[in-house]
Amino acid sequence: MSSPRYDSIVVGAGAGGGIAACVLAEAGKSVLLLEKGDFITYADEPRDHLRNHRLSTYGHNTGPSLVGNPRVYVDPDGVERVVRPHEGGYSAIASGVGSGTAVYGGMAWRFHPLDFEMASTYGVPPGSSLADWPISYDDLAPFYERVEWEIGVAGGPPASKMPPRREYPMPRMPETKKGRWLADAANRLGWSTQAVPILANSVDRAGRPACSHCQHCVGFACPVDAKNGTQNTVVPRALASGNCKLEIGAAATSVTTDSTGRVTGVTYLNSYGVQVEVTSEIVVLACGAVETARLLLLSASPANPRGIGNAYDMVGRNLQGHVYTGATGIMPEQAYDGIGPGPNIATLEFNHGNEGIVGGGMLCDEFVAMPLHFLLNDRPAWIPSWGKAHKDWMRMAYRHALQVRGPIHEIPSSASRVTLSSDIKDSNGLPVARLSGTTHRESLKIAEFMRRKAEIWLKEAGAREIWSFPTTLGLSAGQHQAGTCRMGHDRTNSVVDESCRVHGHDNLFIADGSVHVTNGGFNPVLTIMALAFRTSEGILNRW
Amino acid sequence: MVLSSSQFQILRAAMDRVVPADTDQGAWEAGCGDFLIRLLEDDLVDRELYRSGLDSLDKEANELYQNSFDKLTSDEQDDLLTSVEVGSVFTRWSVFPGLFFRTLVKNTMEGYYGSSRNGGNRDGLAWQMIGFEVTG
Repeated sequence: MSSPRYDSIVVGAGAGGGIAACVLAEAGKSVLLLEKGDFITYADEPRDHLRNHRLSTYGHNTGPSLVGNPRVYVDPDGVERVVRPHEGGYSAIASGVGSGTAVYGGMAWRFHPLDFEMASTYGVPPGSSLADWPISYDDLAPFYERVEWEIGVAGGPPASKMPPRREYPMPRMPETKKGRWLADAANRLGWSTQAVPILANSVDRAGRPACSHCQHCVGFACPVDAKNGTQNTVVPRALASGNCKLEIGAAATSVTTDSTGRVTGVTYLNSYGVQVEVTSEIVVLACGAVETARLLLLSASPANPRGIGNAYDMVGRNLQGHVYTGATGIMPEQAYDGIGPGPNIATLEFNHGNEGIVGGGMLCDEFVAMPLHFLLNDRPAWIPSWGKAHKDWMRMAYRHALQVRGPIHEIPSSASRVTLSSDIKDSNGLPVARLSGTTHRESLKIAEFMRRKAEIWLKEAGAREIWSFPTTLGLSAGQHQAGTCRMGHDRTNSVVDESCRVHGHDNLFIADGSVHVTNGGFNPVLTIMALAFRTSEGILNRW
Repeated sequence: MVLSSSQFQILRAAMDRVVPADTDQGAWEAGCGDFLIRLLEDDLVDRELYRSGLDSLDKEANELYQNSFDKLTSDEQDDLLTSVEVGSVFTRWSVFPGLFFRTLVKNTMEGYYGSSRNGGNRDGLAWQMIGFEVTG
């Protein structure tokens, strides 16, 4: 079955793809926006504490379906397992319009300027693939600002460790008791802080209300549509332009090429399972770091025998995400306030400039915790896992606990990667992604350093008992997955150039976390979005 | 039925030691049994692990106390479960005792502290108990 020709096809309607579709459509280009999943809405959201993107014990509240979409996960001991989307090792990103941006907590961090220059700042740890980005913070800064204003960020002034920038369009989320304790403690310690910036409305904006401060933010759809994702900002803009067709339930199966290897379009299975071939001048892939790499590998042809963009075996390598660390403490008075989303104050004191440490990370207080999430993740070793003592502890600790957590800037490894499974196939008969390797062990040193800082912060804030858990070496990808189509000047050790165009393919671009050279010491979504604006504007400038 | 009536009685007694009743309801009254039955019916947990584990737990009680597990005192039940937790058993188990116990604890907690819609945490009692207030 064959369809009309489009100026451009964007595969994936998440953080990056939604923006690419909007920029291209508003510039007058016809756009086919393909999304494998469905719409993700609060009305369909049962708020199941065992089936959501924070805790997915028995399923998810988004796609992909648990049936027919497996991956192969190779654990650090080399044992292979077939895993379903809600199971450990799968590294699921929400499938649906908006993708993770419909259910995220929405921390809106810019990367630090030195996050783009890790190798030249610190050197390259042996065995790692640490490298500088081919672009700088200054290249991305104007596009960060576009995200902050066009998607919508609420927050305060930047920490002293960050460059000055235009103020956000909305004031910070209200300061909480926990935020005040931690801000005061940081001041006493001499640590710089800033209010956690959030991609949600703190006041009515863009025709949608202010955040209602519910207790089910991260992992769930927003009950009042105050959370700003691509599904309620740029995707509607793209559709309103009249130039964009959004097709849901459309799973891309290959990027098509002509006999010379030039990209001609995309084939996909529509929601009826019918294979459709569409052609376009430009193709933009935005399926997330795992599925974008998989799609390129699935698109092998005589002209591109190892997959598209993979002449040097780089597609799928450097898979990374975020190792998290932090600590929990018991406060003398109740810390719980139930004011969502929760993260209120952060310190950027330790993202860089730490003696003997490569980079570092950000720390902030936590989202309002689901009781089960708290129970499973925050019980100290000296509290029994069951019985009267456990119940007593839950009654005391849930409301007295104060948590500080954050991602560290991971040190990537080229052996951490996405390949195609040799034997496991999805419901469409296509080889599934196989995830293997671990983050580089230097990451553990950074996590340990940051864990101690979290404990110091809690102690200064007045916590009595404080505990934390060491990080173990493992594959890192998850919702912050990145790195599999690394950006670089040299086509022998990267996949896309500095404009996020696939080396050797002048009309194929990538607009998701795949292109991140390293993933910053912060939640990555603002960077994914800023790059998508930059990449899309770059496409238009040359068109 | 996914469990026999005797397995059901053992399950009830064991769950009520995992989250015992005190000033707040215990696991069974909170609906953890209903929660687990749904998991078993939906094939989300291993039925054989439960069937065999519950039978073995009762056999263990008969061996050590000459009584059915659900007839033991709370202290005896706790002592027995503590031994099972660390795999220290006196009878032949066809499943790993520690695995059975960890699964029982995990599922009981999921029922007790999870969403009421899944069967446990009846009327949100566990959330009220710990002070997780849902306002919107």
